[in-house]
Amino acid sequence: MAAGVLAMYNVLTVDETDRQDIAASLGGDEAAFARLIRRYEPAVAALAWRFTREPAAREELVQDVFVEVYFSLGGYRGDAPLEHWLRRITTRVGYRFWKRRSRRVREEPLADLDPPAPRGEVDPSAAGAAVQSLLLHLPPPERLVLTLMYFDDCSVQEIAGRMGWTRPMVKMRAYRARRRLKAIAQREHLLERLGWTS
Amino acid sequence: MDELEAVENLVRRARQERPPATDAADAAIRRIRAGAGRPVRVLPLSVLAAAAAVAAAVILALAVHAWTAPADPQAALFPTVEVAAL
Repeated sequence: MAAGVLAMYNVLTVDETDRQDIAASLGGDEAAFARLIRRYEPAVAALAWRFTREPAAREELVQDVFVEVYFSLGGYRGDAPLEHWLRRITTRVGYRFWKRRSRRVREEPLADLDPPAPRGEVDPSAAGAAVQSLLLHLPPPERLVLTLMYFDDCSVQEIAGRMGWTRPMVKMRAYRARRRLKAIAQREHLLERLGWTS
Repeated sequence: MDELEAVENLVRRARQERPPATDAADAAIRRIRAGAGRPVRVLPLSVLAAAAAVAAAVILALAVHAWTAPADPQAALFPTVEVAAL
């Protein structure tokens, strides 16, 4: 079986080490799958960070991704690098997490930005928290579009492909999200809080 | 600068953030061993398609049979009138 799996993947897109570990994982080799996890966990965890900053929830999200990866590994066709496929699964798992949360959690107030800092000198962590708390005010589909555009460099086409949405739908959601985000930032007096009014 | 530009400025700074590391491998493997997250198996689509095709074939056969059966049920009530040759 492993030889068949190895032959199936495009050698130009799938790394040799990945091909061997995927084939071994499909054969039930847990150590091989653990190697895959350790290799790709930083990328998955970094994307998961954009879905939640709560340590326990994020840890669970990362686990959810790899559990889902394990059970759908047979469906990986190898026509794109493994990391692309993992990002797609992470996005879907994160989106499901948001949709579950949006039913029971009210939007959070904007993170504290004090003390104000010049534009290029805001602490990256404070900036991340502020952006995330602004995005939390958006409905999950719009939040997802902006999150992927802002933090995963995704184009409209890529988001559409990742989520199975149409391109016009993604464009419309991006447009609405930006309009809504601007209104929220005005309501929350973002410029004053940042000290960027002048 | 408007609010949207301010947000995009914040995004540029936020992209430099280094998220804390996670260690999910052992827990994920434990969950896999326990079978958590295993997709619920439904009958393969091809089996369902075959069952639907069989059902459709039976219905078609019955319909053709009914269509080609000789009769209007009322036909027996009206015996054929033989027209006498003039």
